[in-house]
Amino acid sequence: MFGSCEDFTRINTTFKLENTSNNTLSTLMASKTVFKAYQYKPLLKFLNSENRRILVADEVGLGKTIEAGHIMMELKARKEMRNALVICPHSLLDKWHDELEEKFGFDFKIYDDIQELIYDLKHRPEIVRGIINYEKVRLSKKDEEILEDIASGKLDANKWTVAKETLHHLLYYSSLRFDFVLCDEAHRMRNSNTQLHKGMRMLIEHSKAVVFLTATPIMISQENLFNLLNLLDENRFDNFPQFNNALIENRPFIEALGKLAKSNNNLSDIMKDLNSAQILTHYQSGNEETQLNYDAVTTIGERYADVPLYQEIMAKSKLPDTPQLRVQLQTDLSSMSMINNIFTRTRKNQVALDLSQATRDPQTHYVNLYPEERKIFDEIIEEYKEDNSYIDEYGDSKMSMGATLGLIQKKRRVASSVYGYKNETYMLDEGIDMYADKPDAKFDKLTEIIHAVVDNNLARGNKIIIFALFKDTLKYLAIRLKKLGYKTAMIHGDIVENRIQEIERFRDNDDVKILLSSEVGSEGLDMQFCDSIVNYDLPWNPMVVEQRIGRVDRFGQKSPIVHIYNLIVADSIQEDIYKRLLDRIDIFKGCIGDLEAILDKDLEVSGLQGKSLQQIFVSLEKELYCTKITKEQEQTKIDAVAQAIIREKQNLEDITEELTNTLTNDAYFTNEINSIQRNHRYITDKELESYIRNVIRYKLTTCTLETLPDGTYIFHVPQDTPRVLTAFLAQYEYVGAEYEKDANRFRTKIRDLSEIRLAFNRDIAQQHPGCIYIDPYHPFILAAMQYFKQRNQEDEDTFQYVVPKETFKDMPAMHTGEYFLALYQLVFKRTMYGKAQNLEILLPILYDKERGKMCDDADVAEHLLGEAQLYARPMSHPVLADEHLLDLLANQFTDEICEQEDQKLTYYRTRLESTKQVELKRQEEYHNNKIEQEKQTIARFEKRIEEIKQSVQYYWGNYKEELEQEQKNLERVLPSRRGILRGLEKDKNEALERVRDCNIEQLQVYKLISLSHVIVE
Amino acid sequence: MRYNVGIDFGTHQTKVCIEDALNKRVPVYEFLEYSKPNGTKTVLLPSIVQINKDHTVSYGFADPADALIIVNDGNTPPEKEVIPEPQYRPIPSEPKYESLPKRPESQNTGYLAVLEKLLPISETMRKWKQECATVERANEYRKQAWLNSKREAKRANEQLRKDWEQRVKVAEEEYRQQYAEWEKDVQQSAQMRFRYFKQASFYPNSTPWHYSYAPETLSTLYLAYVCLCIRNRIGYDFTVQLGAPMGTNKKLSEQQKYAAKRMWNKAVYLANQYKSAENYIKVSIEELMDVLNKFNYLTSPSTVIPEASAGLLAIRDKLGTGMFLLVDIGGGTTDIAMCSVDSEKTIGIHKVFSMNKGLNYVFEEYQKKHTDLSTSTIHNIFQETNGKKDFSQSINNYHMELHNKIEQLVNAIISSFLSANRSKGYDRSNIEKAMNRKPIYLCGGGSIYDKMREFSTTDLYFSDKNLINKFLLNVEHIGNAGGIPDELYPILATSYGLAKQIEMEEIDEKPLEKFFNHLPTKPTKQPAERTPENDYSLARGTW
Repeated sequence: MFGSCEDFTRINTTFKLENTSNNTLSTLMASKTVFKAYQYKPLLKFLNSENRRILVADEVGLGKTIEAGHIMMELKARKEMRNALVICPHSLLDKWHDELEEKFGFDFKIYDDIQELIYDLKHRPEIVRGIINYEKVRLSKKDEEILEDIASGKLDANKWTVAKETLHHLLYYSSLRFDFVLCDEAHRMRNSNTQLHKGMRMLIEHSKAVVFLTATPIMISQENLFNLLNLLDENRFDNFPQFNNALIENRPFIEALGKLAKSNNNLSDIMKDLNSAQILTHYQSGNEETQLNYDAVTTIGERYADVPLYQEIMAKSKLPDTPQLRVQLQTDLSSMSMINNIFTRTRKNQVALDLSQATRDPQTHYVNLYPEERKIFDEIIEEYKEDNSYIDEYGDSKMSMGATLGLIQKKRRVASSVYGYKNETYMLDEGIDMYADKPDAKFDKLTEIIHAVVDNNLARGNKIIIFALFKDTLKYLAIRLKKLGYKTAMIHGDIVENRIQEIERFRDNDDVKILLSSEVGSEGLDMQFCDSIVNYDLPWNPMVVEQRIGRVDRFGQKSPIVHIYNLIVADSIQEDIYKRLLDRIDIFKGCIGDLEAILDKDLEVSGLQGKSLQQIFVSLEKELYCTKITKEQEQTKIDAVAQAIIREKQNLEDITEELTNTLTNDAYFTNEINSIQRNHRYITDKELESYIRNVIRYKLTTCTLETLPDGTYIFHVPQDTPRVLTAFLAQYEYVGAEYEKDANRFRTKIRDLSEIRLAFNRDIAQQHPGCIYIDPYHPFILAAMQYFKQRNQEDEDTFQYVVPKETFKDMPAMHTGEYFLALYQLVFKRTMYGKAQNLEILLPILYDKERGKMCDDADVAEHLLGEAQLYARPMSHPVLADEHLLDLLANQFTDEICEQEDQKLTYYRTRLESTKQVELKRQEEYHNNKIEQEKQTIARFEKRIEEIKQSVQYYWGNYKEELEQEQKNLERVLPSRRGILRGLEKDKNEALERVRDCNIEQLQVYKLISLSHVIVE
Repeated sequence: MRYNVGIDFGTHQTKVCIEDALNKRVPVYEFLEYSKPNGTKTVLLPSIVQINKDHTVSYGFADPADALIIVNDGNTPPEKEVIPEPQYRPIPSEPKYESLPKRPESQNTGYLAVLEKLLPISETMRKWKQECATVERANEYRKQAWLNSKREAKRANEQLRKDWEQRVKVAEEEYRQQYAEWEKDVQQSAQMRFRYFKQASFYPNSTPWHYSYAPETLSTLYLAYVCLCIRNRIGYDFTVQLGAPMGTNKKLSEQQKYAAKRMWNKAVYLANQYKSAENYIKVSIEELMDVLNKFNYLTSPSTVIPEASAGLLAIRDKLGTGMFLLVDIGGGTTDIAMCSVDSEKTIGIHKVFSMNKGLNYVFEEYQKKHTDLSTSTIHNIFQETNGKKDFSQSINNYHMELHNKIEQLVNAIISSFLSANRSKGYDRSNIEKAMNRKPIYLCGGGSIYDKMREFSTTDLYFSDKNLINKFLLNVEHIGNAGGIPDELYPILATSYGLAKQIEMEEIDEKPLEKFFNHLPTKPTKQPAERTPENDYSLARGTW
């Protein structure tokens, strides 16, 4: 007897929920984010990596936060993330907290006090989910010394006592392990000799999964990148020279990958180029005196001649050129690279379609102040508090900190708006402008712009955002605009609770055309429905300018042009800053690139050394506003900064370009994600709904699930047994402290409700905030999973159903008729550098009854499996399966799965063996070079001793004594040199052994998950 | 047998559901479809038999213009005096109660805060408690006032109804006499288009029938047509479960069951003679009568199941243990069944009440005010206005009677429970508890309208109203190619239940002594063992 399609879906969903198969993603559609395929690439790579470690180095603006969120969500769904730590710069603590909550529903806690974290880690380590800044992981010098002493045996490990416990002390002595550690802006750990780097190393050693995020993995040299990778995986990236050589070797492969992606390149040419590409392997050891270089120039073809995967690639490239073959070759080529599994980088030009394509159209208006305004303006700008200044240790005239800041602030405010500055705040709050009768040149210019944009339909939706630095300026503008009959919305730092409502008022209310905004308060708000902004005042820091523009010039902006209006007071420092700096670096045209990285970088330029551009901006403002300098001096200073920025920009672009060419190219990964999406290898909302329906069918029989026209559902609980659902949740609660919180929250929410409104679809849930969103790891789903697992299910592995033909539109191999679909699970065990990891694969096999044979296109079986989970329906006229045929099939399926299993194992083994071969070669070269150098040194010593022995008889006096002394010295040193040599040989053997020990094997015999009799009609 | 067919032979329309159990784990259900004259498909076959001018017979859909008409001698039959139902007083709804003032935040911490919860030790707490008491007193007063006015309204309405019923009874008796006299004089006949023959077949005493063709004969002819339609769809490999009205009156039930069997056997006999529906509808009524007269004994595999329980069988999986009501709002009648389910999922039916009002009553009342409108127009107006405006008075009357009937049923249950169980130590609270917040399941053609379901259930104990709709039925696998419109499920529920193969033990008419078996036996109080958890005197040492 066959089970129904509902049962088929149910067992598949259960399998997906509890399984850690490598080719399914449970949470593909579960987060509250807009689906972008490339954002799942890091997750896929992470899942396929040998040790759950990855460095995500996407360019800015591609959503690294979201990518990390996807990884966390999937880990949570796989029950592999109980405790977790997010480490980021202090300024990003809140951002991380909010995004994880809003987009992924995670409840993380910001720990400002390390002691609080330590307390929680000690008392409930399994549920700590914290966000901390980098300062907290820094290893103190004292702790470092103690740890060194313990390591060298100088100190008994038990005697490490602390007055106040540190994180590292706790890590050292407890069995605490983090399931997941995330480091944002990971480039901060790039220098291996910093305390931060050392502290992180210890933390990472105690973590099961680690993700690094950075847009700029390489700040100065490749060694930065190496340091990061070394931190992530010490085994693989254990020395820099090897890494360097590997990068050189990698380059031709990356080039080939790039060419493969473009169909106009001839396949055989690409392979020919790859095969004949020259590479230089270079090792160097010893000091200047004893230096030994190993240099070998070979071609890729020669070097990889006996690597099995390379041979396979070369053989495949002679086949007829098809898109499928190219994808296959891309996969193969990238698995040749040692950093492919640990490093991922997406560039904007690879995913250009997803982003805002708007061009920026800046327009600058120079404002000539009216004489009265000019007087006030100049008075304040020209004011230098010389009486407050003092001479510092370098002999420079300095002002006390407080006085400086006060003065700068005053100047900024008057530069923003003269009358905004003159009016008292409390008057402005009352809606009174004391200077209402005074003409305001800047405001008059603004009125012109507003008139052009809003009243003459220049902008999309006739809406405009006016940015200013100060609340008073905004309030002042609101009063004056109101007088002219314009309704405005306003957001600034003091408006906290109504922020969203104000934005909605601006977006949805046709009467409100103008939004007055400061930067504080506008972070994180999306305003892409508007395409015009005014910079009423001018922030000097390009980052602030970029952030303002970024509010409208971002993903989702539908207008082709973004209008930027700048109001600059003519003949002022502002004008110089604008003309000589901001405009020159093309900030208003959006060509600056990775501004954050540029500004964050420590400068190497003389005179500005050791300072980052961020810091220079702060001091520039101080200098120009608070010291009296000539116009020429002023301009020289501004020019210097502008040039530094331009230089850094170029520099960074060069390094990035260079490294991108040698690191990785995995744009083809999108294929894999699309395939997961197309074949529904994730848990769809329909499956979740069906899962709940199944619980109702078997267990909560007195409840009903009603569909509403708006796509939401009502779960009815009978009034006479109001606790039936909560009791079910309690009985089948998923064990683990981290689930208890979710489960309790849900139980409290639904207690005594007889109608519970649910949504299974992310988008629908967002439209109906009153709904409870059921995602793949919601307590209800987990309880259902527990229930189904405990339920005795006899002969529930055969099914019969119909799948409509129209779901196979682009699959000519599928025809109407009968099929048999078997779903198998294969499990392999991969051991890499002593760490073992299971590889689980779901493999569908399809038998075509009409053709009387197995379907040889694996994608068809995959697709059928995916479609069946969504679109299967019962046979309206059941038929019996031919029993004779079933007997026959049993044998055929067994043969097929055995063959497939062998193929898969061979597939993985080839790749592993190839990696091993390449790795062995590198290790051998590296170690041989060192050994050779040591041998040469010993030989030189021995030779010298021999020389002395033979010649000493011919000398006398001092010289003879010197020779004898030299011989003595050499003889004394020689044993230790031999010891070093033995050590090096031992190192080499150990290193090689570690590589040789890497292995993949079959862990268990294939397992049949289900067999379905499918009718396609 | 591969197929099991459930036939819900209805007063207004007949529904047939076919269970295909080839794969026992995944049975597929198909509702038999018929073609309407305009070519569209429907799963509802009107219970109409029409003898046409050419003496052939049409079933279900027939143009009244084609009907054979026999003209009488000119005397019109006596008019029935219509006595309008009185305007009942509306039952006041429960008043809104004032909510209690918010508990003030405790100023104390730790031990004192705990103590404060138990004892009003602070002034603010004492004040709050007093405020609460005032509000509670006011609410109690409101409640009593409401209960009084409700009781009064009910008493008045009951009196109005009794008076009216008395007058109706007298008028009907008069009419019957007049009619009998008129009938003696004339050869009664008119348009040969028959409805309500099902009702007349099963309740021969309470349904007047004036036609020369006996209702049972017409039912037989009609069922034969249905049988041929089923054969046309699935061949001969099926068993039948036929729904029939069977009350809790044992003698009548036996008669009804026998009648149903007899009709079906005759229908199968007829069907065997003509093989296909096409042939069957070409035969003249005279020939059919001849054939029927030749009927000799034939049994065809069939089971007769009480209609009321068939609807329950459809939702058997959804029923929790305990008591519940089934309210079937049909066109002509409303049936109320008091049922229970025990832990083995056996459904017991204790009492069935039938009320002589259904959806048609609401339409007819409307038609009295709008005589120019046809029934179908009224139906449309009802749908469009969702039973508002001029329908509300009649719906109100209907609900009143329904409420009274249920109340009577509930009271009957309470008193029978008490008389049967007093000796066992149960009291009123036990039965009240057993009925409290229990479900009422609604089905039938009238139940699909929101307005018809909106009757008050306060003070009925049974308060959880559930429509037997698509979601409750949860028919997983439907064979109909085009699916079934959602609103039809409450109407199709009975035929779906009949199509499920059942053992007869799964439903029974429960005698009273067994009806309360699902209640837990009276617990005998055992003194709880003294442990530190429940006895502080033992735990003191650990404090």
